[in-house]
Amino acid sequence: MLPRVLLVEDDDVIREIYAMKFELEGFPTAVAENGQVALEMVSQFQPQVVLLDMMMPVMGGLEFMERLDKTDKKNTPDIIIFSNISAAAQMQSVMKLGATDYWVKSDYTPERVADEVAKLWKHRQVDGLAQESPADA
Amino acid sequence: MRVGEFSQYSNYKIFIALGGMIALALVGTITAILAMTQMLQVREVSQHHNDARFQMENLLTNLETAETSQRGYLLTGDQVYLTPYHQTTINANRQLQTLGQQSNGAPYHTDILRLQSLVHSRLAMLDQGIALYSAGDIEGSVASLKSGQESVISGQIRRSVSGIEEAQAGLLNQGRLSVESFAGLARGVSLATLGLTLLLASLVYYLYVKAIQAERELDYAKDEFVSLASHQLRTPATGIKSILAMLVAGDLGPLGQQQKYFVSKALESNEREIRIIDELLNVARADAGRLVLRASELELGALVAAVIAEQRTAIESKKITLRFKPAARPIHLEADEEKLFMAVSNLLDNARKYTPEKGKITVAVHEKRGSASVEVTDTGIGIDETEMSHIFDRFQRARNVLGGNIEGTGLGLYLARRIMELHNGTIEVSSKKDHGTKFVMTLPQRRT
Repeated sequence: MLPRVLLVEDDDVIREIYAMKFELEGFPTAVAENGQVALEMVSQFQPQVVLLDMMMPVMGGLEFMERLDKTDKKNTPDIIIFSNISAAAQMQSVMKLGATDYWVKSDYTPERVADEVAKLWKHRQVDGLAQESPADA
Repeated sequence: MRVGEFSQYSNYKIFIALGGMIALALVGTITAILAMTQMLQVREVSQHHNDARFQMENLLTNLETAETSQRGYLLTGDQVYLTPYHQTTINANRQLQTLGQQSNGAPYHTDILRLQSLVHSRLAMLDQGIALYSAGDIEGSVASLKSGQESVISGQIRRSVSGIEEAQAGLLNQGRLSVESFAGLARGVSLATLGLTLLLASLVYYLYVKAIQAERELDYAKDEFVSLASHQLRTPATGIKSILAMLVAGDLGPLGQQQKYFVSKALESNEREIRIIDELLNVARADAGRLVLRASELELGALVAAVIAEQRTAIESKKITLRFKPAARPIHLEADEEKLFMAVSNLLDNARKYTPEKGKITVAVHEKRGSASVEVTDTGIGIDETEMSHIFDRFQRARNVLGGNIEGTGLGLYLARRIMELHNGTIEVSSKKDHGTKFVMTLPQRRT
Protein backbone atom coordinates (compact mmCIF):
# COMPACT_ATOMS: atom_id res chain seq x y z
CA MET A 1 0.00 0.00 0.00
CA LEU A 2 1.24 3.46 -0.88
CA PRO A 3 0.41 6.48 1.33
CA ARG A 4 -2.01 9.27 0.48
CA VAL A 5 0.20 12.20 -0.56
CA LEU A 6 -0.74 15.87 -0.39
CA LEU A 7 1.48 18.05 -2.53
CA VAL A 8 1.51 21.70 -1.34
CA GLU A 9 3.25 23.81 -3.98
CA ASP A 10 2.55 27.23 -5.50
CA ASP A 11 4.60 26.75 -8.68
CA ASP A 12 2.19 25.35 -11.33
CA VAL A 13 4.86 23.47 -13.31
CA ILE A 14 6.35 21.72 -10.30
CA ARG A 15 2.94 20.94 -8.78
CA GLU A 16 1.61 19.50 -12.03
CA ILE A 17 4.65 17.39 -12.87
CA TYR A 18 5.06 15.96 -9.36
CA ALA A 19 1.32 15.21 -9.11
CA MET A 20 1.59 13.38 -12.43
CA LYS A 21 4.59 11.35 -11.21
CA PHE A 22 2.88 10.38 -7.92
CA GLU A 23 -0.26 9.32 -9.77
CA LEU A 24 1.81 7.34 -12.29
CA GLU A 25 3.50 5.53 -9.41
CA GLY A 26 0.11 4.76 -7.88
CA PHE A 27 0.06 7.16 -4.91
CA PRO A 28 -3.41 8.54 -4.08
CA THR A 29 -2.54 12.20 -4.65
CA ALA A 30 -4.07 15.60 -3.89
CA VAL A 31 -2.64 19.06 -4.50
CA ALA A 32 -2.92 22.46 -2.84
CA GLU A 33 -1.45 25.78 -4.03
CA ASN A 34 -0.94 27.29 -0.58
CA GLY A 35 -1.04 26.53 3.14
CA GLN A 36 -4.66 27.63 3.62
CA VAL A 37 -6.01 25.31 0.91
CA ALA A 38 -3.74 22.60 2.33
CA LEU A 39 -5.31 22.93 5.81
CA GLU A 40 -8.77 22.28 4.25
CA MET A 41 -7.37 19.37 2.24
CA VAL A 42 -5.90 17.79 5.38
CA SER A 43 -9.37 17.36 6.89
CA GLN A 44 -11.00 16.27 3.61
CA PHE A 45 -8.29 14.07 2.07
CA GLN A 46 -6.55 12.97 5.28
CA PRO A 47 -3.09 12.62 3.73
CA GLN A 48 -0.45 10.39 5.30
CA VAL A 49 2.47 12.31 3.81
CA VAL A 50 2.55 16.03 3.04
CA LEU A 51 5.20 17.45 0.73
CA LEU A 52 5.28 21.07 1.82
CA ASP A 53 6.79 24.06 0.06
CA MET A 54 7.83 26.98 2.33
CA MET A 55 7.41 30.21 0.42
CA MET A 56 3.85 30.46 -0.90
CA PRO A 57 1.30 33.27 -1.22
CA VAL A 58 -1.71 33.53 1.16
CA MET A 59 -0.19 31.10 3.69
CA GLY A 60 3.39 29.79 3.73
CA GLY A 61 4.67 26.44 4.93
CA LEU A 62 5.73 27.70 8.36
CA GLU A 63 2.25 29.02 9.20
CA PHE A 64 0.68 25.80 7.89
CA MET A 65 2.92 23.86 10.30
CA GLU A 66 1.91 26.09 13.21
CA ARG A 67 -1.82 25.81 12.47
CA LEU A 68 -1.90 22.11 11.70
CA ASP A 69 -3.69 20.19 14.43
CA LYS A 70 -1.15 17.70 15.77
CA THR A 71 -3.08 16.53 18.82
CA ASP A 72 -3.95 13.13 17.33
CA LYS A 73 -0.39 11.91 16.77
CA LYS A 74 -1.42 8.69 15.08
CA ASN A 75 -3.36 10.49 12.37
CA THR A 76 -0.96 13.43 11.94
CA PRO A 77 0.70 13.13 8.55
CA ASP A 78 4.46 13.00 8.04
CA ILE A 79 5.47 16.43 6.84
CA ILE A 80 8.41 16.66 4.48
CA ILE A 81 9.60 20.17 3.76
CA PHE A 82 10.18 20.34 0.02
CA SER A 83 11.63 23.77 -0.56
CA ASN A 84 14.36 25.55 -2.45
CA ILE A 85 15.32 27.53 0.65
CA SER A 86 18.44 25.96 2.10
CA ALA A 87 19.14 28.37 4.98
CA ALA A 88 20.19 26.54 8.13
CA ALA A 89 18.06 28.77 10.40
CA GLN A 90 14.91 28.05 8.39
CA MET A 91 15.60 24.30 8.43
CA GLN A 92 16.06 24.30 12.20
CA SER A 93 12.84 26.23 12.89
CA VAL A 94 10.63 23.90 10.79
CA MET A 95 12.28 20.81 12.20
CA LYS A 96 11.41 22.13 15.67
CA LEU A 97 7.78 22.43 14.57
CA GLY A 98 7.72 18.69 13.93
CA ALA A 99 8.73 18.22 10.28
CA THR A 100 9.93 14.69 9.44
CA ASP A 101 12.63 15.81 6.98
CA TYR A 102 13.85 18.70 4.86
CA TRP A 103 14.54 18.07 1.18
CA VAL A 104 16.08 20.81 -0.98
CA LYS A 105 13.92 20.69 -4.12
CA SER A 106 16.66 21.39 -6.65
CA ASP A 107 18.61 18.31 -5.44
CA TYR A 108 15.69 15.98 -6.31
CA THR A 109 13.95 14.57 -9.37
CA PRO A 110 10.28 13.40 -9.34
CA GLU A 111 11.49 9.81 -9.51
CA ARG A 112 13.74 10.18 -6.48
CA VAL A 113 11.03 11.94 -4.46
CA ALA A 114 8.51 9.17 -5.25
CA ASP A 115 11.12 6.55 -4.23
CA GLU A 116 12.00 8.35 -0.98
CA VAL A 117 8.33 8.81 -0.03
CA ALA A 118 7.68 5.12 -0.67
CA LYS A 119 10.74 4.20 1.44
CA LEU A 120 9.63 6.50 4.27
CA TRP A 121 6.16 4.95 4.25
CA LYS A 122 7.62 1.46 4.32
CA HIS A 123 9.68 2.40 7.41
CA ARG A 124 6.60 3.85 9.07
CA GLN A 125 4.71 0.63 8.54
CA VAL A 126 7.57 -1.47 9.92
CA ASP A 127 7.79 0.85 12.95
CA GLY A 128 4.00 0.66 13.39
CA LEU A 129 4.04 -3.16 13.35
CA ALA A 130 6.94 -3.19 15.81
CA GLN A 131 4.97 -0.98 18.18
CA GLU A 132 1.79 -3.03 17.84
CA SER A 133 3.42 -6.47 18.20
CA PRO A 134 4.11 -6.36 22.00
CA ALA A 135 0.45 -5.52 22.56
CA ASP A 136 -0.58 -8.38 20.30
CA ALA A 137 1.69 -10.72 22.18
CA MET B 1 17.89 55.47 6.33
CA ARG B 2 19.02 52.01 5.29
CA VAL B 3 20.65 49.66 7.78
CA GLY B 4 24.19 49.93 6.34
CA GLU B 5 23.99 53.71 6.23
CA PHE B 6 22.94 53.82 9.86
CA SER B 7 25.95 51.73 10.79
CA GLN B 8 28.36 54.03 8.97
CA TYR B 9 26.62 57.11 10.42
CA SER B 10 26.98 55.64 13.92
CA ASN B 11 30.68 54.96 13.42
CA TYR B 12 31.12 58.55 12.29
CA LYS B 13 29.37 59.81 15.43
CA ILE B 14 31.47 57.52 17.64
CA PHE B 15 34.65 59.02 16.19
CA ILE B 16 33.34 62.58 16.75
CA ALA B 17 32.45 61.75 20.37
CA LEU B 18 35.86 60.12 20.96
CA GLY B 19 37.53 63.20 19.44
CA GLY B 20 35.48 65.36 21.85
CA MET B 21 36.64 63.24 24.80
CA ILE B 22 40.29 63.63 23.78
CA ALA B 23 39.83 67.40 23.32
CA LEU B 24 38.24 67.70 26.78
CA ALA B 25 41.05 65.69 28.33
CA LEU B 26 43.53 68.10 26.68
CA VAL B 27 41.63 71.15 28.02
CA GLY B 28 41.67 69.64 31.54
CA THR B 29 45.40 68.89 31.34
CA ILE B 30 46.32 72.33 29.97
CA THR B 31 44.25 74.06 32.71
CA ALA B 32 45.98 72.03 35.41
CA ILE B 33 49.44 72.82 33.95
CA LEU B 34 48.61 76.56 33.78
CA ALA B 35 47.33 76.58 37.39
CA MET B 36 50.47 74.83 38.58
CA THR B 37 52.77 77.17 36.62
CA GLN B 38 51.07 80.21 38.12
CA MET B 39 51.37 78.82 41.64
CA LEU B 40 55.07 78.18 41.09
CA GLN B 41 55.54 81.74 39.82
CA VAL B 42 53.84 83.21 42.91
CA ARG B 43 55.97 81.03 45.16
CA GLU B 44 59.10 82.27 43.40
CA VAL B 45 58.03 85.91 43.77
CA SER B 46 57.22 85.31 47.43
CA GLN B 47 60.65 83.76 48.02
CA HIS B 48 62.25 86.69 46.24
CA HIS B 49 60.45 89.23 48.44
CA ASN B 50 61.42 87.36 51.58
CA ASP B 51 65.10 87.43 50.51
CA ALA B 52 64.88 91.19 49.81
CA ARG B 53 63.25 91.87 53.17
CA PHE B 54 65.95 89.88 54.95
CA GLN B 55 68.67 91.85 53.12
CA MET B 56 67.03 95.17 54.05
CA GLU B 57 66.71 94.23 57.71
CA ASN B 58 70.40 93.28 57.79
CA LEU B 59 71.26 96.50 56.00
CA LEU B 60 69.46 98.60 58.65
CA THR B 61 71.14 96.63 61.43
CA ASN B 62 74.59 97.14 59.86
CA LEU B 63 73.90 100.81 59.35
CA GLU B 64 72.87 101.17 62.98
CA THR B 65 76.02 99.36 64.16
CA ALA B 66 78.17 101.62 61.92
CA GLU B 67 76.51 104.74 63.38
CA THR B 68 76.99 103.51 66.99
CA SER B 69 80.66 102.59 66.33
CA GLN B 70 81.34 105.97 64.69
CA ARG B 71 79.73 107.81 67.61
CA GLY B 72 81.78 105.78 70.13
CA TYR B 73 85.00 106.63 68.30
CA LEU B 74 84.19 110.34 68.02
CA LEU B 75 83.25 110.60 71.71
CA THR B 76 86.11 108.49 73.19
CA GLY B 77 88.77 108.49 70.46
CA ASP B 78 89.22 104.81 71.15
CA GLN B 79 90.43 102.97 67.97
CA VAL B 80 88.65 99.83 69.12
CA TYR B 81 85.39 101.26 67.68
CA LEU B 82 86.85 101.48 64.17
CA THR B 83 86.99 97.68 63.57
CA PRO B 84 83.22 97.04 63.81
CA TYR B 85 82.65 100.30 61.96
CA HIS B 86 84.70 99.20 58.92
CA GLN B 87 83.21 95.70 58.98
CA THR B 88 79.60 96.87 59.05
CA THR B 89 80.14 99.50 56.33
CA ILE B 90 81.63 96.77 54.08
CA ASN B 91 78.63 94.53 54.86
CA ALA B 92 76.19 97.36 54.17
CA ASN B 93 77.77 98.06 50.77
CA ARG B 94 77.65 94.37 49.85
CA GLN B 95 73.97 94.15 50.84
CA LEU B 96 73.14 97.23 48.79
CA GLN B 97 74.79 95.61 45.78
CA THR B 98 72.83 92.32 46.30
CA LEU B 99 69.55 94.21 46.70
CA GLY B 100 70.21 96.08 43.46
CA GLN B 101 70.83 92.84 41.60
CA GLN B 102 67.86 90.99 43.11
CA SER B 103 65.37 93.75 42.44
CA ASN B 104 66.43 94.11 38.82
CA GLY B 105 63.20 93.96 36.80
CA ALA B 106 60.95 94.28 39.88
CA PRO B 107 58.45 97.18 39.97
CA TYR B 108 60.19 98.59 43.09
CA HIS B 109 63.71 98.58 41.53
CA THR B 110 63.80 102.39 41.36
CA ASP B 111 62.95 102.52 45.10
CA ILE B 112 65.92 100.22 45.75
CA LEU B 113 68.18 102.53 43.70
CA ARG B 114 66.96 105.50 45.76
CA LEU B 115 67.64 103.52 48.96
CA GLN B 116 71.16 102.78 47.69
CA SER B 117 71.80 106.45 47.12
CA LEU B 118 70.45 107.42 50.60
CA VAL B 119 72.57 104.74 52.35
CA HIS B 120 75.66 105.82 50.37
CA SER B 121 75.07 109.42 51.48
CA ARG B 122 74.66 108.34 55.07
CA LEU B 123 77.85 106.22 54.94
CA ALA B 124 79.70 109.16 53.34
CA MET B 125 78.60 111.39 56.25
CA LEU B 126 79.86 108.80 58.78
CA ASP B 127 83.19 108.55 56.91
CA GLN B 128 83.47 112.33 56.87
CA GLY B 129 83.02 112.55 60.71
CA ILE B 130 85.78 109.97 61.22
CA ALA B 131 88.05 111.73 58.73
CA LEU B 132 87.63 115.10 60.58
CA TYR B 133 88.39 113.45 63.94
CA SER B 134 91.44 111.68 62.58
CA ALA B 135 92.68 114.98 61.14
CA GLY B 136 92.41 116.51 64.65
CA ASP B 137 89.29 118.57 63.97
CA ILE B 138 87.51 117.36 67.09
CA GLU B 139 85.00 120.18 67.07
CA GLY B 140 84.13 119.72 63.43
CA SER B 141 83.59 116.05 63.93
CA VAL B 142 81.37 116.55 67.02
CA ALA B 143 79.49 119.27 65.14
CA SER B 144 78.79 116.73 62.37
CA LEU B 145 77.12 114.57 64.98
CA LYS B 146 74.88 117.43 66.07
CA SER B 147 74.06 118.91 62.70
CA GLY B 148 70.64 117.14 62.56
CA GLN B 149 71.23 116.20 58.91
CA GLU B 150 71.97 112.63 59.95
CA SER B 151 68.54 112.15 61.50
CA VAL B 152 66.92 113.56 58.31
CA ILE B 153 68.70 110.98 56.12
CA SER B 154 68.07 108.17 58.61
CA GLY B 155 64.37 109.04 58.55
CA GLN B 156 64.42 109.02 54.73
CA ILE B 157 66.13 105.59 54.75
CA ARG B 158 63.52 104.11 57.12
CA ARG B 159 60.64 105.51 55.05
CA SER B 160 62.26 104.20 51.88
CA VAL B 161 62.58 100.69 53.41
CA SER B 162 59.00 100.64 54.64
CA GLY B 163 57.82 101.93 51.20
CA ILE B 164 59.65 99.05 49.51
CA GLU B 165 58.19 96.55 51.97
CA GLU B 166 54.70 97.87 51.30
CA ALA B 167 55.22 97.58 47.54
CA GLN B 168 56.43 94.01 48.00
CA ALA B 169 53.47 93.09 50.20
CA GLY B 170 51.09 94.59 47.61
CA LEU B 171 52.65 92.57 44.82
CA LEU B 172 52.54 89.38 46.88
CA ASN B 173 48.92 89.95 47.72
CA GLN B 174 48.08 90.61 44.08
CA GLY B 175 49.79 87.29 43.12
CA ARG B 176 47.89 85.39 45.77
CA LEU B 177 44.57 86.83 44.62
CA SER B 178 45.38 86.00 41.03
CA VAL B 179 46.28 82.40 41.96
CA GLU B 180 43.12 82.04 44.02
CA SER B 181 40.89 83.29 41.22
CA PHE B 182 42.68 81.10 38.66
CA ALA B 183 42.42 78.08 40.97
CA GLY B 184 38.65 78.68 41.19
CA LEU B 185 38.45 78.84 37.41
CA ALA B 186 40.60 75.70 37.05
CA ARG B 187 38.35 73.84 39.50
CA GLY B 188 35.27 74.89 37.48
CA VAL B 189 36.90 73.87 34.20
CA SER B 190 38.01 70.51 35.66
CA LEU B 191 34.51 69.71 36.96
CA ALA B 192 32.91 70.72 33.66
CA THR B 193 35.48 68.65 31.75
CA LEU B 194 34.83 65.65 33.95
CA GLY B 195 31.06 65.98 33.54
CA LEU B 196 31.28 66.39 29.77
CA THR B 197 33.73 63.49 29.47
CA LEU B 198 31.33 61.23 31.37
CA LEU B 199 28.48 62.41 29.14
CA LEU B 200 30.50 61.73 26.00
CA ALA B 201 31.60 58.32 27.32
CA SER B 202 27.92 57.42 27.81
CA LEU B 203 27.18 58.66 24.30
CA VAL B 204 30.05 56.56 22.86
CA TYR B 205 28.73 53.48 24.68
CA TYR B 206 25.19 54.11 23.43
CA LEU B 207 26.37 54.59 19.83
CA TYR B 208 28.57 51.49 20.05
CA VAL B 209 25.63 49.35 21.19
CA LYS B 210 23.49 50.85 18.42
CA ALA B 211 26.17 50.16 15.82
CA ILE B 212 26.44 46.51 16.88
CA GLN B 213 22.68 46.18 16.70
CA ALA B 214 22.70 47.71 13.22
CA GLU B 215 25.44 45.27 12.11
CA ARG B 216 23.29 42.37 13.32
CA GLU B 217 20.28 43.72 11.43
CA LEU B 218 22.45 44.04 8.35
CA ASP B 219 23.64 40.44 8.68
CA TYR B 220 20.05 39.30 9.08
CA ALA B 221 18.97 41.33 6.02
CA LYS B 222 21.83 39.80 3.98
CA ASP B 223 20.82 36.32 5.09
CA GLU B 224 17.19 36.99 4.19
CA PHE B 225 18.28 38.24 0.79
CA VAL B 226 20.42 35.17 0.11
CA SER B 227 17.54 32.88 1.13
CA LEU B 228 15.12 34.72 -1.12
CA ALA B 229 17.55 34.81 -4.05
CA SER B 230 18.21 31.11 -3.51
CA HIS B 231 14.49 30.33 -3.72
CA GLN B 232 13.76 32.55 -6.70
CA LEU B 233 16.72 31.31 -8.77
CA ARG B 234 16.22 27.64 -8.03
CA THR B 235 12.44 27.41 -8.57
CA PRO B 236 12.33 27.79 -12.38
CA ALA B 237 15.46 25.63 -12.77
CA THR B 238 13.81 22.96 -10.61
CA GLY B 239 10.66 23.06 -12.76
CA ILE B 240 12.75 22.38 -15.87
CA LYS B 241 14.68 19.64 -14.07
CA SER B 242 11.46 17.88 -13.03
CA ILE B 243 10.06 17.88 -16.58
CA LEU B 244 13.35 16.75 -18.17
CA ALA B 245 13.78 13.99 -15.59
CA MET B 246 10.24 12.77 -16.28
CA LEU B 247 10.93 12.80 -20.03
CA VAL B 248 14.19 10.84 -19.61
CA ALA B 249 12.47 8.31 -17.32
CA GLY B 250 9.82 7.80 -20.02
CA ASP B 251 7.03 8.94 -17.69
CA LEU B 252 5.68 11.27 -20.36
CA GLY B 253 5.72 8.71 -23.13
CA PRO B 254 8.47 6.91 -25.05
CA LEU B 255 11.25 9.00 -26.67
CA GLY B 256 13.25 8.18 -29.79
CA GLN B 257 16.97 7.45 -29.32
CA GLN B 258 18.08 10.89 -30.54
CA GLN B 259 15.34 12.66 -28.55
CA LYS B 260 16.39 10.82 -25.38
CA TYR B 261 20.06 11.74 -26.03
CA PHE B 262 19.35 15.46 -26.36
CA VAL B 263 16.86 15.56 -23.45
CA SER B 264 19.57 13.89 -21.29
CA LYS B 265 22.04 16.58 -22.41
CA ALA B 266 19.47 19.25 -21.50
CA LEU B 267 19.08 17.64 -18.09
CA GLU B 268 22.88 17.64 -17.58
CA SER B 269 23.04 21.36 -18.49
CA ASN B 270 20.15 22.08 -16.17
CA GLU B 271 21.87 20.25 -13.31
CA ARG B 272 25.08 22.18 -14.00
CA GLU B 273 23.07 25.40 -13.87
CA ILE B 274 21.64 24.43 -10.48
CA ARG B 275 25.17 23.63 -9.22
CA ILE B 276 26.41 27.06 -10.35
CA ILE B 277 23.46 28.75 -8.62
CA ASP B 278 24.29 26.79 -5.45
CA GLU B 279 27.97 27.76 -5.66
CA LEU B 280 27.12 31.45 -6.09
CA LEU B 281 24.71 31.33 -3.17
CA ASN B 282 27.25 29.54 -1.01
CA VAL B 283 29.79 32.25 -1.82
CA ALA B 284 27.23 34.91 -0.90
CA ARG B 285 26.62 33.06 2.38
CA ALA B 286 30.33 32.64 3.06
CA ASP B 287 30.88 36.36 2.44
CA ALA B 288 28.00 37.25 4.75
CA GLY B 289 29.59 34.99 7.39
CA ARG B 290 26.57 32.69 7.26
CA LEU B 291 28.08 29.51 5.93
CA VAL B 292 27.01 27.51 8.96
CA LEU B 293 28.45 24.12 9.82
CA ARG B 294 26.10 21.28 10.64
CA ALA B 295 28.61 18.84 12.02
CA SER B 296 27.94 15.19 12.56
CA GLU B 297 30.12 12.13 12.87
CA LEU B 298 31.26 10.71 9.55
CA GLU B 299 33.80 8.34 8.06
CA LEU B 300 36.16 10.24 5.80
CA GLY B 301 37.05 7.29 3.54
CA ALA B 302 33.38 6.58 2.81
CA LEU B 303 32.74 10.24 2.01
CA VAL B 304 35.68 10.40 -0.42
CA ALA B 305 34.59 7.08 -2.00
CA ALA B 306 31.10 8.58 -2.55
CA VAL B 307 32.61 11.64 -4.28
CA ILE B 308 34.68 9.33 -6.51
CA ALA B 309 31.65 7.18 -7.34
CA GLU B 310 29.73 10.29 -8.39
CA GLN B 311 32.47 11.54 -10.71
CA ARG B 312 34.01 8.26 -11.93
CA THR B 313 31.97 8.11 -15.14
CA ALA B 314 32.78 11.71 -16.10
CA ILE B 315 36.50 11.19 -15.36
CA GLU B 316 36.82 7.86 -17.16
CA SER B 317 34.89 9.14 -20.17
CA LYS B 318 37.88 11.50 -20.64
CA LYS B 319 40.14 8.39 -20.68
CA ILE B 320 41.76 9.53 -17.43
CA THR B 321 42.98 6.80 -15.04
CA LEU B 322 41.47 7.29 -11.61
CA ARG B 323 43.08 5.67 -8.55
CA PHE B 324 41.85 5.70 -5.00
CA LYS B 325 44.17 4.96 -2.08
CA PRO B 326 42.06 4.63 1.07
CA ALA B 327 43.54 4.90 4.57
CA ALA B 328 44.64 1.74 6.41
CA ARG B 329 41.65 1.98 8.75
CA PRO B 330 38.38 3.97 8.94
CA ILE B 331 38.82 7.65 9.96
CA HIS B 332 35.94 8.94 12.05
CA LEU B 333 35.64 12.67 12.54
CA GLU B 334 33.12 15.42 13.22
CA ALA B 335 32.38 17.49 10.14
CA ASP B 336 29.62 18.94 7.97
CA GLU B 337 29.08 16.06 5.55
CA GLU B 338 27.39 18.08 2.81
CA LYS B 339 30.03 20.82 2.80
CA LEU B 340 32.98 18.46 3.10
CA PHE B 341 31.52 16.45 0.20
CA MET B 342 31.33 19.71 -1.77
CA ALA B 343 34.97 20.61 -0.96
CA VAL B 344 36.34 17.18 -2.01
CA SER B 345 34.05 17.17 -5.03
CA ASN B 346 35.34 20.61 -6.10
CA LEU B 347 38.96 19.39 -5.92
CA LEU B 348 38.25 16.25 -7.94
CA ASP B 349 36.16 18.18 -10.46
CA ASN B 350 39.04 20.63 -10.81
CA ALA B 351 41.53 17.80 -11.40
CA ARG B 352 39.26 16.36 -14.12
CA LYS B 353 38.89 19.74 -15.85
CA TYR B 354 42.62 20.46 -15.96
CA THR B 355 43.90 16.96 -16.78
CA PRO B 356 44.14 16.15 -20.48
CA GLU B 357 43.08 12.79 -21.98
CA LYS B 358 45.09 9.73 -20.91
CA GLY B 359 46.19 11.54 -17.78
CA LYS B 360 46.07 10.21 -14.23
CA ILE B 361 44.27 11.34 -11.07
CA THR B 362 45.05 9.85 -7.66
CA VAL B 363 42.91 10.42 -4.57
CA ALA B 364 44.43 9.37 -1.25
CA VAL B 365 43.19 9.50 2.34
CA HIS B 366 45.71 9.56 5.20
CA GLU B 367 45.60 9.69 8.95
CA LYS B 368 48.34 11.36 10.96
CA ARG B 369 48.55 12.08 14.67
CA GLY B 370 45.44 14.16 15.43
CA SER B 371 44.62 15.00 11.83
CA ALA B 372 43.24 13.47 8.67
CA SER B 373 43.99 14.51 5.10
CA VAL B 374 42.68 14.06 1.59
CA GLU B 375 45.14 14.39 -1.30
CA VAL B 376 44.06 14.90 -4.90
CA THR B 377 46.99 14.59 -7.34
CA ASP B 378 46.72 14.97 -11.10
CA THR B 379 49.03 14.90 -14.11
CA GLY B 380 47.30 17.96 -15.58
CA ILE B 381 48.48 21.27 -16.99
CA GLY B 382 49.75 22.49 -13.62
CA ILE B 383 49.58 25.99 -12.24
CA ASP B 384 51.87 28.83 -13.22
CA GLU B 385 53.93 30.18 -10.31
CA THR B 386 52.45 33.66 -10.78
CA GLU B 387 48.95 32.24 -10.35
CA MET B 388 49.68 30.13 -7.26
CA SER B 389 49.05 32.92 -4.74
CA HIS B 390 45.59 33.69 -6.22
CA ILE B 391 44.38 30.14 -6.76
CA PHE B 392 42.05 30.20 -3.73
CA ASP B 393 40.60 33.64 -4.48
CA ARG B 394 37.09 34.11 -5.79
CA PHE B 395 36.54 33.84 -9.55
CA GLN B 396 40.13 32.65 -10.11
CA ARG B 397 41.05 29.79 -12.39
CA ALA B 398 44.19 28.63 -14.04
CA ARG B 399 44.75 29.90 -17.54
CA ASN B 400 42.84 27.79 -20.00
CA VAL B 401 45.44 26.14 -22.19
CA LEU B 402 43.21 23.33 -23.42
CA GLY B 403 41.38 25.53 -25.88
CA GLY B 404 38.57 27.23 -24.04
CA ASN B 405 36.46 24.22 -23.10
CA ILE B 406 36.73 24.40 -19.31
CA GLU B 407 33.43 25.17 -17.67
CA GLY B 408 32.81 26.47 -14.15
CA THR B 409 32.48 29.62 -12.09
CA GLY B 410 36.00 29.81 -10.68
CA LEU B 411 34.47 29.53 -7.20
CA GLY B 412 35.19 25.88 -6.41
CA LEU B 413 38.61 26.35 -4.79
CA TYR B 414 37.47 29.48 -2.96
CA LEU B 415 34.59 27.53 -1.44
CA ALA B 416 36.87 24.57 -0.63
CA ARG B 417 39.17 26.95 1.26
CA ARG B 418 36.23 28.56 3.16
CA ILE B 419 34.84 25.12 4.05
CA MET B 420 38.27 24.05 5.36
CA GLU B 421 38.54 27.28 7.40
CA LEU B 422 35.13 26.60 8.95
CA HIS B 423 36.41 23.17 10.02
CA ASN B 424 39.64 24.71 11.42
CA GLY B 425 41.43 22.82 8.68
CA THR B 426 43.83 23.84 5.91
CA ILE B 427 44.15 23.44 2.19
CA GLU B 428 47.52 23.52 0.41
CA VAL B 429 48.59 23.32 -3.18
CA SER B 430 51.84 22.36 -4.89
CA SER B 431 52.23 22.31 -8.62
CA LYS B 432 54.70 22.05 -11.46
CA LYS B 433 53.84 23.61 -14.78
CA ASP B 434 52.91 20.95 -17.40
CA HIS B 435 53.48 18.14 -14.89
CA GLY B 436 50.50 18.34 -12.57
CA THR B 437 49.04 19.62 -9.32
CA LYS B 438 48.54 18.25 -5.84
CA PHE B 439 45.95 19.59 -3.38
CA VAL B 440 46.07 18.52 0.27
CA MET B 441 43.14 19.16 2.59
CA THR B 442 43.88 18.60 6.28
CA LEU B 443 41.25 18.40 9.00
CA PRO B 444 41.76 18.26 12.75
CA GLN B 445 40.55 14.90 14.00
CA ARG B 446 38.44 14.89 17.14
CA ARG B 447 37.34 11.45 18.07
CA THR B 448 33.74 11.16 19.19
